[in-house]
Amino acid sequence: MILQAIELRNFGKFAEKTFEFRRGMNLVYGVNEAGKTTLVEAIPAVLFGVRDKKRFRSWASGEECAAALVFTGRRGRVRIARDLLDDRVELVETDGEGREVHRFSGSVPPEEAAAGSGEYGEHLLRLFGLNEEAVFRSSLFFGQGQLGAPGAPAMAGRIRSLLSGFGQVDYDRVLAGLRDELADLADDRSGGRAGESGELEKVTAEVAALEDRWREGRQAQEQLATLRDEIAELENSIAFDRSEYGKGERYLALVRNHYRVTAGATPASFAPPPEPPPTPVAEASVASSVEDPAEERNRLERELAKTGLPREIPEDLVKILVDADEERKVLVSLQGEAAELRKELHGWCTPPWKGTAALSLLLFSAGAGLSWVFPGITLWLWGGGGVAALLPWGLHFMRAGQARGERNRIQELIREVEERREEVQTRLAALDGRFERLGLSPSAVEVVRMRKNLPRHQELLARIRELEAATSGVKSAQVLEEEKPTASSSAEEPASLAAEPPRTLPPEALLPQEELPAAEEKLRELGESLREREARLLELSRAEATLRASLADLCAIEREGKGLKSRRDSLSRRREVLRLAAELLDAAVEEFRSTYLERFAADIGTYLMATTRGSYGRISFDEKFSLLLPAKGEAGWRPLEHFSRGTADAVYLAVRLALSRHLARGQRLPLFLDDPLVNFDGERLQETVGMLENVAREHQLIFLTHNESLLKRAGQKRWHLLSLDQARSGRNRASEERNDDVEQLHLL
Amino acid sequence: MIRILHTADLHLDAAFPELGEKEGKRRLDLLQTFERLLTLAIKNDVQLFIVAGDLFDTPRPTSEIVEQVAAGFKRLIARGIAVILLPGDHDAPPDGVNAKLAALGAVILPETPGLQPVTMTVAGRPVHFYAFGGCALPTPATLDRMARRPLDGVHIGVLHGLRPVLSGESGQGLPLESLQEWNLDYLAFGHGHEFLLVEGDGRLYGCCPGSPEGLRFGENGPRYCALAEVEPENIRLEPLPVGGRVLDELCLDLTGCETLADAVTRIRELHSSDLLLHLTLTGLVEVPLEMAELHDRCAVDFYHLELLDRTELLAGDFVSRLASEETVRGVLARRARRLLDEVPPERRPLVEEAFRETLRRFQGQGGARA
Repeated sequence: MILQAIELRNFGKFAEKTFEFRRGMNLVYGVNEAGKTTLVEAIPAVLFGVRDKKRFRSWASGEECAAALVFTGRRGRVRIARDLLDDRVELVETDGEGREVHRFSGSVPPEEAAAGSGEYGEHLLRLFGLNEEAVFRSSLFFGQGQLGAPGAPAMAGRIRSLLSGFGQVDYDRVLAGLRDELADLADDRSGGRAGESGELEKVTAEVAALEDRWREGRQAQEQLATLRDEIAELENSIAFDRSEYGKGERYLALVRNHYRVTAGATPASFAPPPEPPPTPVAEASVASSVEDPAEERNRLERELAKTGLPREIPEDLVKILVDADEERKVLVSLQGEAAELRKELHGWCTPPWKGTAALSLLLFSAGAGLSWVFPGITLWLWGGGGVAALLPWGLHFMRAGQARGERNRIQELIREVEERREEVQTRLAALDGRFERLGLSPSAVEVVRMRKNLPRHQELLARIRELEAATSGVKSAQVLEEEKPTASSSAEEPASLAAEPPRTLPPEALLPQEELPAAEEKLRELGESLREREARLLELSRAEATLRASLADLCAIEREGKGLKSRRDSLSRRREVLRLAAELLDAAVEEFRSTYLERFAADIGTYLMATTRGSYGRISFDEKFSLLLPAKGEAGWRPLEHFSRGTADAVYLAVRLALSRHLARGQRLPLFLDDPLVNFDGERLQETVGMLENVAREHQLIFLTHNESLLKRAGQKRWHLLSLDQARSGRNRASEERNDDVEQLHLL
Repeated sequence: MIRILHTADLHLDAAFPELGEKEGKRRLDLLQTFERLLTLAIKNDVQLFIVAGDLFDTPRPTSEIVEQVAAGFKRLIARGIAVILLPGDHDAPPDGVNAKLAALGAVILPETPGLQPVTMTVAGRPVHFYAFGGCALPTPATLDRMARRPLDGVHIGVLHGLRPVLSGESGQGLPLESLQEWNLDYLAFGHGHEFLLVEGDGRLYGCCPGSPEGLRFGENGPRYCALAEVEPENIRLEPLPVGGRVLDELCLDLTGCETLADAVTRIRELHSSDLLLHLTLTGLVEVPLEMAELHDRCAVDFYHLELLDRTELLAGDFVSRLASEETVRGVLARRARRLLDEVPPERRPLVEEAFRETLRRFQGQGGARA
């Protein structure tokens, strides 16, 4: 496959120009800045596009920038044309007879083209064996000074890059990169950074630590729950015992008083009443003052009578009182409603007709007067007057109608209200009846009084009953009606019962005097135990508060744990992926080396013959692709550094050629050399050129230079010559005659 | 009949580090949802506004947020709507912020049920609250105290952290029998971030409204609060949609995509400026997709976009071309394909990812990638 022509239109400094090439050696001559690089860059520009649209935009015309390449080969001819501004590409392949074999037309942006994807990429692959720009450039292009062999490690690196298939990156580096990241993650390496643990290990350790903390926190939570249960129980028992204590105290005080009274002032066989246990709520003082009990009782009874309620309140009385109260309230409100409605009704009386009548009469007389004065318009006056008279009457009737409607409505409402009132009154009557049956006066005043006194009555009754109970020595818990359940969690003291013991005690209820100290002792013990329990309650509450504070962490720990675990899982997965990748790549390299190494060595050897003009024909590689040549005059191999520069250059060229051929899947593609020998001097230059000529037997070579001595050689060796330089048209007549395409277009 | 607006798990002052620069905006979204809840409460003329836990994400939220919440609650209280708050597992212990809210008149329920429920008067009737929240553990003694007391009025249970196990479900949590034993008029649950009706045996016990603004992926789709009308022996419940942005987790099949631009087009079809999307990409593609670049080109069409690459490459034409080369790359492609066929199905995504990773490191942008 050779490049036959490059067609340029408004491409860089070329307005419209076609360059034609031939097999073998082609020399493009031009001084610096003549456009050599532009010309050779047109090739990848057409194949892969340019990202920077301004790069080749013509100085003359900015709207168009296009180029085309024509390749010819065994199969026929391919023309690839591209508009560099909008990236429209046209590819036409024709066979030997000129029949069209393939055609592609479409837009191929540079990113796509460079990657070799899509239908266009398929064509390139088919034609050249290559479809990626990076590979294309690194195999077929030799830039300035690039023919000289780089140092051995770089050479090996270049070889590895090309063999990787990517052109730029050498697989060794990729492998190293994978392994590095793996080590950062999971410390897989044995030596070196064995002190630091990988990130994955760190996270796993954190998760474990967190789980420990969580377990501790969980224990604390359980402790807290038990603690709270204990506290609740304690509260319960304290509440109960405190009330018991109070009762016991009062009873004993009663007993003591009794004995004192009956036996006069007695010595201190009666211990003073034990101190009351300290109460957190400074409400009622349970200190019982020993007064005149009977007197007190009578007083209470009198008060009770004053409430107007019977001593024993029947169950329904309360309900009846409440109901009656409610019903009366409803009645009052209904009466209010009715009054309101009546007032409203009054407001809607029929509007007076007198005014309207007067107005119409006035109009009528006015009309009559006018018609008398102006008899001609009588008819008109009658007509107009009639209408005028009708208007106020119309309004009047409307208003009257409206008023009537409203009145009807209100009357309806009033009727309803009245009905309800009657209902309420019937109910009240019924309630009154029940009052009477109970033997109470149903009068409204009485009822209200009874209602108001109900709570007080209950209180008094309770006190009286307490006295009775205390005297009879019966601890009746049912008496304590006041201890209704309340919203607060702490049990309350029985409401202020400065219960005074009655003066006299029925003998059966009295504790024998001998047993008194024992009873007091028991009471004191109860008091002690209560105090202890309260102290303990305080302790427990404090403990609860501290536990509570530390518990907030538990939930935060759980959340942190979740986050860490998910991080650990994702790191774990990453490690798996990296490990797999490294294994895959490692294995691939191994397989590649073992399969292809020998073959390469052989391919390169063939090219080596050409480039060293027969001096060397064999080459070898180590695993890292460092090159070895047979040692001169002895058996065995020597590394490349041991040989001359000229030899090294030759070897490098051979390597590049072999690789290019390999990457192009066996095709012999043209090579483009952009002044690669610029750093070579005298003899080396000549040697290398000789080498290139050899190569040119198999590959088309397009060689750009500004070196005049090469011009001479071009003539001698019958190279195909193109000149970019205006002033050189008549230089070498021999070549002019022989090469009919010296009439190359010059710079415009 | 008492009307309740029941919500929970607002998590005000939560952090969203995964959203990057959108974090501030998202935090404002939460506050806006809070305001919407207040509006709903007022519009629907409720008597109770109950937050069943985790109103805040931390026990000590920033003062600006607390100010805004306090102002909002003041508005409700001024209109006669009682505000009932339960400490959740994120915003307990109730010191600091809850004290301030209590001072306004909001009722802060205790973390464990006491000997007696918390009683208050609402619209002339007594209402009793049985509370269980914070980080408390459900011991039998504690749970017993949630049972209905012989008092007049409406009995409402407010719970955070206990999951009701409905009939047909298994697992840990609160069995239906417990709910039946308690015999409360309405159960206001919190902590679960999804809307859940708590019913069984033909009876509705209450609900868990879920988070009114989705916080993490998983809390997808529309969000609700609950509007409940509670009568003795009867509950009418209506989920009210609330919440501003939508979270969603989707899968997109990119089979056949030949270029990055193709993929970008397909992803952008899902665009919505209110959508936080977690998108898993699947399918057989013909070009290795660079996730970072894909994200950069698509993210602008969404409120927030996360991409997960589960695309397949190895079975496609692109790899076929590579596999025909006589280079290291070619051998790699061939070996990767063989490996794909050999491993069990659950490991296949790993092989794909490993191959993509290697390819990525080779290709780079015109140079080596370490």
